[in-house]
Amino acid sequence: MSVKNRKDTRNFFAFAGISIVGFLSFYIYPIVRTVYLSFTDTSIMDPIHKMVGWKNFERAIIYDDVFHLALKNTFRYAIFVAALKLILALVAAILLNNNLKGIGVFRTIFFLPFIIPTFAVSYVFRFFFHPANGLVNESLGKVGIDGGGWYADSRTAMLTLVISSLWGFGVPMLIFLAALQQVPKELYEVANLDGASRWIQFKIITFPAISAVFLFNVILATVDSLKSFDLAFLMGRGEGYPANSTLLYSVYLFNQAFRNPWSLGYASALALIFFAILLTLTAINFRLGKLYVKNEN
Amino acid sequence: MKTKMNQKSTKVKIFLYCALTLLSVSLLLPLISLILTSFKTFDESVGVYRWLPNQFNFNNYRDVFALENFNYWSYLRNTLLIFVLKSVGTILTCTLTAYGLIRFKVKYSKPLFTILLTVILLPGELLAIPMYQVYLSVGWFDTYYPLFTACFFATDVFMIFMFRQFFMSIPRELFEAAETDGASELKIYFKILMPLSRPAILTCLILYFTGTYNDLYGPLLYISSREKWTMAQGIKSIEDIFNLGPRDYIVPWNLVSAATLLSLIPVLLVFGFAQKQFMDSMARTGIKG
Repeated sequence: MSVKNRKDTRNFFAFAGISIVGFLSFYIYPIVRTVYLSFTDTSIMDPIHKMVGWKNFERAIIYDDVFHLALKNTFRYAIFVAALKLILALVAAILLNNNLKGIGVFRTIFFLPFIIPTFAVSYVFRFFFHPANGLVNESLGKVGIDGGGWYADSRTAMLTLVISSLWGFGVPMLIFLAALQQVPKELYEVANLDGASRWIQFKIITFPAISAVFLFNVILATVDSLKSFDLAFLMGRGEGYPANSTLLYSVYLFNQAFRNPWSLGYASALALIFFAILLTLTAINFRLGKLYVKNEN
Repeated sequence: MKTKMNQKSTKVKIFLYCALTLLSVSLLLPLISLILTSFKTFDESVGVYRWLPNQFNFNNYRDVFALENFNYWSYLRNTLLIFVLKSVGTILTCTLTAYGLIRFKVKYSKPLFTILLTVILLPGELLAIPMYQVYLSVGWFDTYYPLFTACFFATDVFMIFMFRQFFMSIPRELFEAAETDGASELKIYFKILMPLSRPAILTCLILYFTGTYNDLYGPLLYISSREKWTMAQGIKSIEDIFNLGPRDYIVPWNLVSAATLLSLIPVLLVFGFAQKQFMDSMARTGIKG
């Protein structure tokens, strides 16, 4: 028996050992190093660095106005994108959850924007909202409305970014749809006999049945929208154009760390603050979830 | 009575179709607008907006391939190369790990899996900065190594999780029977486990293909020379080719839209061939990149 045990142990490490090496070198090392860097003034430009204590955190939390703006932008962006995306996804899923002819075609169409790579999405919407020769302003012009500058105007750039981000609601939609299909049809038949309206049916049957999945989607959408980088980077020319109006947290962090002046120390502090924010919001989401998730187990 | 209840009234049906169509049209509008523009001439594309081009021609598509600073095939080849390297690394090491986790009754198995799972929460930003320093210091700037090396160390915990779930659905007796027949563990892994894992491997490939194709962050950090660019970098920069001076230059939307649409072809092909698998994979992970 002990021979078998020893053999099992050897085999276990022979197969799974690679993940331990990977875990130590690609997760533990970078995290420890990021914490260390956040207390230094490390920069790629200057190989010699010294400990600066809490200075980086102080600078971020108290003094750095651009960072405060990026933080404000990110929260604004995330709240609107997450909320609107969830509503769109839920409405689309409810529409798709009907046994109609050709429903598969609609499902594919609703999902399609999601598979379009972000680098292409940015051109699709920059042309769509082009101030001079885009479809939106042309159509608005027809009915006598001056469309404005959209992404070229610092007052509307964030709105344009939010609308463009909503395009890809395919995944939360599929997750909702899978949950909706699990709801027993008999429940609705009973409700129909009782003459309950559709809204009442949604409130007392549908939502409680999909509430756990709803929480999952809320957490996913919150974290995803807070971490958004690609589209904001592409539409904001990598710098939150115009006038930092679309500067999101991750774009600012990217520019601090990997562009002139390559302030790795300061960026590490920003990354840690970011992680703390993500953790806090996920915890809040779980708390809020307790208020509405109906657990059958 | 029963049939009446099961069948939706015509009114409801009409409402549903209207809503579905309305949503579809508004989702497709931006894309249709770009498609139509790819057939326009330069003057049409930067002039007052008209729905249809004066005449449909494919000149823009031809011209995209002839652009001096834009090499579609090179971007595609580079992206595919990175995709292959990443997926080989992940499929190999994550299946090995997952097999180790489910196959051997060892007290370390559960704790290791739990520890590995904790990193799913970590944002990439937290890891990127030190790794950037490391890769720079070993002289890997402007190479593909930083983009795929981690994949060869079973660092994609989600994939470990997915393969583990899949392997647990395979009856243990299959492994045990092979063991009694004297097959080595490596032989069981290659001859029994791998052939059975095709659906899980396909899921991984689909996710990695779209993930690599989409990835802008990695290439932006590490790849600088134009001939090593990925599709994401090539398309991102196509408008810069025409940016010769002032900030308010005119983007030749006819060419930019044609190039953008060409870049969609590989993803649409994969989607077309494995639509169901594709949607299932995406829905299971909730990620795009």
